[in-house]
Amino acid sequence: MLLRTVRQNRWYKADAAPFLEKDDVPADSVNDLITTGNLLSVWILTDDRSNLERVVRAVAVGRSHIDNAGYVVFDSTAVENAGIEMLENIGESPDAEANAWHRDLSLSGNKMVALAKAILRDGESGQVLKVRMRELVDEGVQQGHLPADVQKKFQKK
Amino acid sequence: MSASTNPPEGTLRADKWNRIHTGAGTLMARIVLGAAMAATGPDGFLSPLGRRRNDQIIAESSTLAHEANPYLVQEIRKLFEQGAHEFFQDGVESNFSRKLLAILRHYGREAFQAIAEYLSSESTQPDVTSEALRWVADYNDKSTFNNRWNILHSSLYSSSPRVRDGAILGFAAIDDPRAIKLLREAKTSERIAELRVLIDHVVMQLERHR
Repeated sequence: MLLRTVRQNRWYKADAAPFLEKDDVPADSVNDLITTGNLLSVWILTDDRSNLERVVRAVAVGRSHIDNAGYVVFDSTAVENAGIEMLENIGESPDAEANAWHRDLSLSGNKMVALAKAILRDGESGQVLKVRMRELVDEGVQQGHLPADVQKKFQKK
Repeated sequence: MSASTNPPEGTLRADKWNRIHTGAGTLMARIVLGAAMAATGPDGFLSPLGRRRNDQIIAESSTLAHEANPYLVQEIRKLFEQGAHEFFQDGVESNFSRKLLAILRHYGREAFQAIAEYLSSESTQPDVTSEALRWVADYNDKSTFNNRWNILHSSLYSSSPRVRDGAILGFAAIDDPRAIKLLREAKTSERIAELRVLIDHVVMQLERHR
């Protein structure tokens, strides 16, 4: 399974259904798959998904403030079926161990639409709430998964 | 005046309106509100003690305070319209959020009244409203608690799922167990499966305080 952080409210299945019926996708969902150099950052989930919160936290701590963090989860077969190449590029988050789960997907415009379609059809979405994220950051620092300065950066204003 | 207390750009007319509108009606409303709060204390004023429904009490208290400043409503409208050109991401500040916070800091309760007025009277861009609700909820200020609560509560029943998402997340940010009942009620009419799951998660979070 693969995970990509998104804003969840762009990925509701009921909203996407009229588009999927016409073999199309909502532009807002595609827009949420922001690439850099045609690469889309994704993360591998373990079979039991026990690393899900850690992966979402790894992405979230790179942002400007602690917030709710949305994500989509989808099967890696969606990537294979769309002919998308997956590159073993190690992540650059403050969680060094989590970075091993990072991958990049090499996308074209058509492949991005195919991926969005597969996620909306067969994937699922969720959010880690802000209150939980704050707990995760504290735990991460206590357990040595995150550097101490991360906690300082996110001190409640 | 320090930089932090400077009015946000273009809001001077709203300040002027404030100076002019300190009439008898406003004064009377403030006296009534003050007396009610003084009689029970903020906790009693808000708490569901069986006298009246909690959400009813909160709704009445903020509408009683005074009418929204029309110039501030206009500024809020402008800000929200500008926000429609932005792409919002979780955990990332935007020009919209920075300007919104500046207005909230400068005008306090009046800004929340203007936002409530704007959201209730106009067809707004769902992405911007959803983003605004997250920031409104997160504004850590006891004196505007009722205003923020009311904005979130009415947004729970928006026709836009994205706005409802912002309202549910707003209640999660406020982290007050009194929202459990409201969220459970909203869930009964929620057609988006992901939002029903989100409500369950937020309720679980809020139940930890009980």
